[in-house]
Amino acid sequence: MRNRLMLLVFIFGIVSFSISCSSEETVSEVKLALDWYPNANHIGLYLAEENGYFAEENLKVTIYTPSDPSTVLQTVASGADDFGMNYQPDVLIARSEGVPVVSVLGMVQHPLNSLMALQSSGNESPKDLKGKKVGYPGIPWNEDALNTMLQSDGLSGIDDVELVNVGWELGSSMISETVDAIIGAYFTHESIVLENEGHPVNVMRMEEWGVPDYYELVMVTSEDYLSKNPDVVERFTRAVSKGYTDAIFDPQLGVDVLKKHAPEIDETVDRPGADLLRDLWKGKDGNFGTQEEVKWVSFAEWMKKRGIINEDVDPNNAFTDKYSAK
Amino acid sequence: MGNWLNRWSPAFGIVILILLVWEVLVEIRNIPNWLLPPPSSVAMTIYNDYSLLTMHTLVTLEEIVLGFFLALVVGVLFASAICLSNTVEKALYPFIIASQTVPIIVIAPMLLVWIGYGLAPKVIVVALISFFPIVVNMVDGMKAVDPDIQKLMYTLGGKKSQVFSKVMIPSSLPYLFSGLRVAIAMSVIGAVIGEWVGSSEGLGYLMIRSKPQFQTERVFAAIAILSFIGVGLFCLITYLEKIFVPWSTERRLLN
Repeated sequence: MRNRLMLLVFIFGIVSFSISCSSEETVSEVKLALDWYPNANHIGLYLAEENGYFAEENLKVTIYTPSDPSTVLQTVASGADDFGMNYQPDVLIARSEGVPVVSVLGMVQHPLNSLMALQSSGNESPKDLKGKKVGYPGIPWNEDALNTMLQSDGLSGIDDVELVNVGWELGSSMISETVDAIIGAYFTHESIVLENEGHPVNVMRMEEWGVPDYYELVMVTSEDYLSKNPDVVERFTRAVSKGYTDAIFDPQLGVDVLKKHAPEIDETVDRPGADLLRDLWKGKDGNFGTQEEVKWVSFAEWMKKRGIINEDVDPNNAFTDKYSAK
Repeated sequence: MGNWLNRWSPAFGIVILILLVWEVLVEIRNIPNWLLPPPSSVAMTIYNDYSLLTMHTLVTLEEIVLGFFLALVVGVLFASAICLSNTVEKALYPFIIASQTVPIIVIAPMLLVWIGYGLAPKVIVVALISFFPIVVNMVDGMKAVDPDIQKLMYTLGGKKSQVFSKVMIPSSLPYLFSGLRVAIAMSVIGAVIGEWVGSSEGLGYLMIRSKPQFQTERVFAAIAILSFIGVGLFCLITYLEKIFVPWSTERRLLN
């Protein structure tokens, strides 16, 4: 009898304990793939981690760097990663090939990818590159962007230059004079690296030379994850937005935190980079994360006209502005 | 003919089995093309993109063959020098071994910057990656010569050069061919690495371009062709060995 009573008390104890546990919100584990190795573009994420915004939302976020940025959309779409940072043009290309990814935050509001030439070369605008060599990272749509930039400056297009696939040796191929200009490099990163090395560059921004404005970096998840875990998506984007709001307030403090998490960064590049990015993180309404329909539609129209994506891609399905900071 | 069937039917059987399982699994589990294309759609891609693939295949093949010959010439010269002179061996061999610890994926992009984006850097990458098994095997072969035979040659008044050309070279040939077989398989990888880091043509270039476009079938088509090239060249070397070193295959059969 006594034993049985003990057992009852024991069972009661376990049941009440497990009830008290389940009444608290469980921690969601989230995997996030960066677009590239950690740099000034990511300081909002590290601030969200450092300042406890992920923890406040009951999120345990694992951040990792893929070896190849072009795999991020695939790992996100297949569910191997829950979120990923990637590029608006690539999201549209992915959707055109049936890869079900959706952008939930506009992270960098304008193109960073630019056409660059050494100042010493005297090439200042796209037309100066007629008959010269332009290096690019082998990404097909960059050819189309260059074509549009050349045409907007009065040349006939891509046939007026010699394109060289230089992989990711963009800066070094220009310093070594293998090529006269490069496209595919960021004016918040590579141009600073080059300048620090004593080779200041002229930056020709895409949206100033005929390419429709687009979001260089967006936060993506899969259609499947979004429909099954809208609550996690909401908490995650809220925490990320808070982190970037802090980054906008004090980018240099953000670089300190970035340095703590990724000591291998080059501060002489990321500090000026963060200052340049500060305004690019702010959407039209001044908030982080905004995505405007007009940008998605106009860029998709340009891609369709160039034959980069299929006619049936609906840009409105490629993003949702529900989660940007309001 | 019967012999040929005996030799190859097990391999073909396994290939067909793997392809069937792959095809069925992709079908049953409804795996999308961009994630893992079924063999049938890879085959369709090879058929549809025939001329495109041929164009890029020829470029890669040229890099493999040129790089391989460069490795062969340099490898045989190094091996001979090492076996003829103790000093050369002591001076050179450590560096030859060290050269294999250099990560080729890091050197390849630098080569491109140093010597430009043409054919040359790819040929050098192929040679760098494939000359090691050639040197090591040939050195082993020359050192494995029966010392009694060498002594006999010298006793009969043979000169060092005669011992080298009449004894050491011929007896090292079977070893050399073993090295060549390893080298040819690695040279295919070398060509792809060389193209991967920067090029405007070749199968590696086609893969790196197709990946960001999510054309996974085309990536697999390129892989299939590369495997075919690798196996084909491997068989070619085995065939050449039978012609040039008949005693090697005879000995293997006797054993």
